[in-house]
Amino acid sequence: MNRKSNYWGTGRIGKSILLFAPMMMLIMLMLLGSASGGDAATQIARLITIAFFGAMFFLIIYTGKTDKWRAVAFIVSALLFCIAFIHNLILERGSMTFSNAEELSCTIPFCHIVTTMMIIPAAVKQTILFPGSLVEGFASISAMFVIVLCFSIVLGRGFCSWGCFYGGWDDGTSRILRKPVIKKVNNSYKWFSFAMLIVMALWSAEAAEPTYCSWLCPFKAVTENERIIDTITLIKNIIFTLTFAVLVVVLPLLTKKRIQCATFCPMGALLSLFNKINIFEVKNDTSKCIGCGKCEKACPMLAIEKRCPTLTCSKCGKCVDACPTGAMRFHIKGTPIDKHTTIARTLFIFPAYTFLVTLCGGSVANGLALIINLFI
Amino acid sequence: MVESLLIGLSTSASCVAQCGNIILSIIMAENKSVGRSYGLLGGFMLGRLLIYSGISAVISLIDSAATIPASVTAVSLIAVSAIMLIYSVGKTKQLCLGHRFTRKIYSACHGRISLLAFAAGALSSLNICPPIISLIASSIGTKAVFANFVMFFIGTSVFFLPMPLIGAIKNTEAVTKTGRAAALIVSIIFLAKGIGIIING
Repeated sequence: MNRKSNYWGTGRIGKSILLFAPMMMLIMLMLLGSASGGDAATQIARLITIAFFGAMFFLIIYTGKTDKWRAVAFIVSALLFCIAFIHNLILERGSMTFSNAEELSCTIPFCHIVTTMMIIPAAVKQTILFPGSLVEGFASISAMFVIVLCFSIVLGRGFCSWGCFYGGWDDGTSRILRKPVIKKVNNSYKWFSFAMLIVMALWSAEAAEPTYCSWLCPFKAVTENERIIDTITLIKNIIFTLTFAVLVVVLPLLTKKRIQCATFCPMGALLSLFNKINIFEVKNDTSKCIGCGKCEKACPMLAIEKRCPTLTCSKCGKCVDACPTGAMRFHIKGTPIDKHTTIARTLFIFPAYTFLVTLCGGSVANGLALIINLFI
Repeated sequence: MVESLLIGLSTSASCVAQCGNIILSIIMAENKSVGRSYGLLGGFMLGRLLIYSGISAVISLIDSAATIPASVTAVSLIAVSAIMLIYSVGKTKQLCLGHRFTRKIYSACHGRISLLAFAAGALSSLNICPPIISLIASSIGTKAVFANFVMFFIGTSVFFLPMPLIGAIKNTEAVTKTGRAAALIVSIIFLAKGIGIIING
């Protein structure tokens, strides 16, 4: 069976352009709508960013390969986000590091992962852990909450592969080697992230601080971290560096799995629960499945068991791309598995890609402008 | 006594945040029926009550706030950490660091999980947390110290009561594996806390 026939528009340039046009308009609106002026490098960067995101979306639609082109956009977004973020920090406060006083005065940027640690303190102690920022230039806490709620409902854990500006790091490192050095990774390790969610939420309520962010987050190593002034802050920084090196670089490199996202991130665990109420899913059409197991091997999130995607699926589409018979497919809950496959895929990719451009588009353009400025 | 009950009720959330992850991880890892889970919670609570009774007896005798030295707290936290580590690693069937040693100890305690919960409850209650400090401060000089501690215990137990309902979740594999992993994380946190107290004196 020709698997390409699963995708409406695959290889058909006219239909692909028809789907691509509205997304291109959205991308232009998001990247040009609120921006005005800027130097030559900024304007060139904006145009390149628009062309880049547009091209990736077109290729997703035209080739029918979801993960292949998504990953390019996702990884580039993560790298350029960090460059732009660090530059922004240096502009705002002169350093990549922050002090305890700056943390207490809420002048550090708000991160979506902290929401997992705000639930229990808010529910049982009527305390809002507030490490967010209202400083101009960073997202406000209310805006971030609305965005988190929106993507949780619309994408479920799809956010981990389509919007998270950290996820691109281990997605990138997990693709460096052609074959994994550690071939077998037990799928049960994914439950560790749920344990992290429970313990971190309770521990944060006790300590009245977002403990995961304060003590464990690997991405502190590439965004911002506490200034080293004593033994405690030194230990914290060593932990950040170690967790980044082990969970984001070494283990994904050796296993070809997104170890940090799949086994450690409490936000991923929380979003997995939203998969239950989310209408989009990746499903195996068992009538077409030949049991080759390629989907299970390909899945970077340890989410496929017995050839069926489970609760922790991040809808990256890697298993869909890997499936030789087209049995693995995007699906809308409540509809027949063997019908409307392309519509389901398209309906999911539109909001997912829109979130990616919304959350990372500006940062990608800024990061690119910085790089261009180095050369001109 | 009413004041002690109110202190307990108002600080109950803190108690759950502090010690809830210990019993919650055990309940999840066992994932027994709701009734058996309440049995585990009962063991944990009994351990807490025993230590509270001991502390109240000491306060009645010496009438002083200096009842729990920091070293005792540190040792109790490290002991809780050891219990949780043995529980987490000993329960898993996969080969891992310290597996044989912990599995032997765990096997020796086989069938006595309530006893393990009891020990964890008792040891974690030796921790000098803000709720206990508030209670001790309000109890010194009163004649009903034991009754105050009992009322405080009742007040702080409220938020623990729904925890065994997790036994009603059907996906047992997910719950038990999450519980074991949580026990491992809790053991690391308590170990770090204990060492932190020893270093800071």
